[in-house]
Parts: sequence; C-alpha cells; structure tokens
Amino acid sequence: MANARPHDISAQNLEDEVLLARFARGDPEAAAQLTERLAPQSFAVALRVLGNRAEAEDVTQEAMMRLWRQAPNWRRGEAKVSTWLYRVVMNLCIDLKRRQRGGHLDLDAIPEPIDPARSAPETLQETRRMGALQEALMQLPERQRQAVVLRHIEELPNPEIAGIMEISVEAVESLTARGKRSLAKILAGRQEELGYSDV
Amino acid sequence: MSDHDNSIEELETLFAAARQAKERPSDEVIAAIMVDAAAVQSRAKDSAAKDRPLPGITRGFYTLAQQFANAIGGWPAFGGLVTAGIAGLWVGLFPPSFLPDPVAQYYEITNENDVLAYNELDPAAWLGDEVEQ
Repeated sequence: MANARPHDISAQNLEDEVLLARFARGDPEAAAQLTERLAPQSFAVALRVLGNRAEAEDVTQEAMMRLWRQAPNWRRGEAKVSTWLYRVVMNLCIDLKRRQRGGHLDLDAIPEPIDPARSAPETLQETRRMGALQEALMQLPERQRQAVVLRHIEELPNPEIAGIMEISVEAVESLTARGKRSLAKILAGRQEELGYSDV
Repeated sequence: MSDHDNSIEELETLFAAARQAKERPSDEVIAAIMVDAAAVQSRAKDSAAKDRPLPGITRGFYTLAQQFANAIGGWPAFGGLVTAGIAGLWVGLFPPSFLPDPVAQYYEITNENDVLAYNELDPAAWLGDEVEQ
C-alpha cells in the first residue's frame, strides 16, 4: 500500500469493494481476506498515533467491526474502503484520547517504552531509532501527528489525507510541514544517541 | 550542509525505516476480528431468513388468518375465540353430570330397539285418542 502507484491503489480498492460485497453475502473467506488486507494497515496507523499497542489493537478491532456492519450498506464507487477505514481509525483515536483527557490521564506524555530485550543486538540501534521517532511523534499536537503519520509513514497523497481528516488540502500541507519541522527540532538533540553523529 | 538539512535528512531516514518496520496486530486480535465478522454474518443471515417471503399457500393462509384476526379485534381476540371453541368442544364431549350427554343420546337413538319402538308408534291412533278427548 505504502508504495502503490495510483492504478494499483484503484485496483486494490476495487478488490476491497468486491470482497466487501462478498462479505455482505455471507462469504467467510472474504472476511479473512479483508482482515488480512486491512487490519494490519489500521493497526499500524493507530499504533503510530496512539503510541500504545493495546489501545491500537482495541481501535483496530472496533474499526473492523464498523466495517463489517457497514458492508451491506456499502455504496460501490463512492469512497475507497481504505480511506473510509483510515477515517474511522483516526476518529476512534481522537475519541479515545478525549476520553482519557476527561479522566485526567494524558498518555501523550507516556510514550510506549522500548523493550531492547525483544530485539537482536544488531537491530538494537534500529529499535532505539524507532522508539525515538515514536517519542517525538507523541510530542506533536494530535492533528499534526495524524497528518505526519498519514503523509510520511503511510505515504498517502494529500487529497486523500484531506478526505480522511475532513480538512482542506492546504490545511494538510500546513499540518505536515509544521509537524515535520517540530520532529526535526525534537530529534536534533538526539543525533549522537541515535547514531547519526557522522552524518 | 546545515544542521536543519541534516535533521530533515535524518528524519526522512527514520520515516523510511518506520515504513519498513510496520508492526502487525497480535494473532489474538486477528482471531477476535474474525469472530466479530462471523457474528455479523450470522446475524445478517438470521435477519434475512426472517424477512424472506413465505411460500404462496402459507402466505395466503396467513393473510386470511390475519384479516380474520383483524376483523374480530386482533390476535388476542382470535386467541379468546379459539379458547372458547376448545372449551365448548370439551363440554360437549364430557358434559358435567347436571347436563344431558349428547353423545349418549345419539347412541341411544340409533339403538335397534329404540328405532323399532319409534316405527311401532301409530300416529293415527294417537291423534284419534286426542280427537275423542
């Protein structure tokens, strides 16, 4: 998905829509294929935005549940399945954060801890870098973080991000530019720690 | 190269690494999603079966019964009518002791002696007696 060309994206959407129609007719194989195609993508975005694996899994399951319920009413050709699902995931992430703030718990301030024991020694540096990126992402305002994740990690085009976030393309450009500047600033002080001192 | 350019370049490297290092949800979550999917499909199937039209003859009978029930005041009234019908049949077949037993009377009148007794009755003589009086 990340490196897909426009016609590949449209082919994928067509396949998603066909699978969704088959799901609505009761085909269990369609459910398995849609889960395999869409659940990891939803999880990856939710994990980057929330910075918490358990919450990202909850959001993914709920988003997929909404897709199953939507299947019989899906109007083919009106929206891309993946775009629709990204929007649901983003809204669920916002709702979750809002509820947590209501309960006086700001998990933005508590990034997912890095577990070096899970990685082989040769990938330790990479794990550190990913941890640092996630910590930096978590310091961005929520909408900036969403826009940066969708643009630079999911590699979605700006018009699609605008559709997902329900804002203008100009607003997306502004959010991603500011987000990227902030990330660079946050990470600038950690170059040596992250093994970039020789760059 | 300025510090800013370095930082942006490092950031691009980090984004590229993040794209490669995408994590997957656990097998438990994938299994839970599949269970949800099966439940939604099962509910949709049940709902479709409920909404499916009845076969012609059943549908015709049902429509007629519905119209009749509506005419007498709905299905509760229809239930009352059926109960009253069953109660009447019960009393007819097994009457209480102070009521005549229609079943016993029917068998009495078809008894051969009773039929002969009726045949031997002479209406003319009977009427004649009345005239003389």
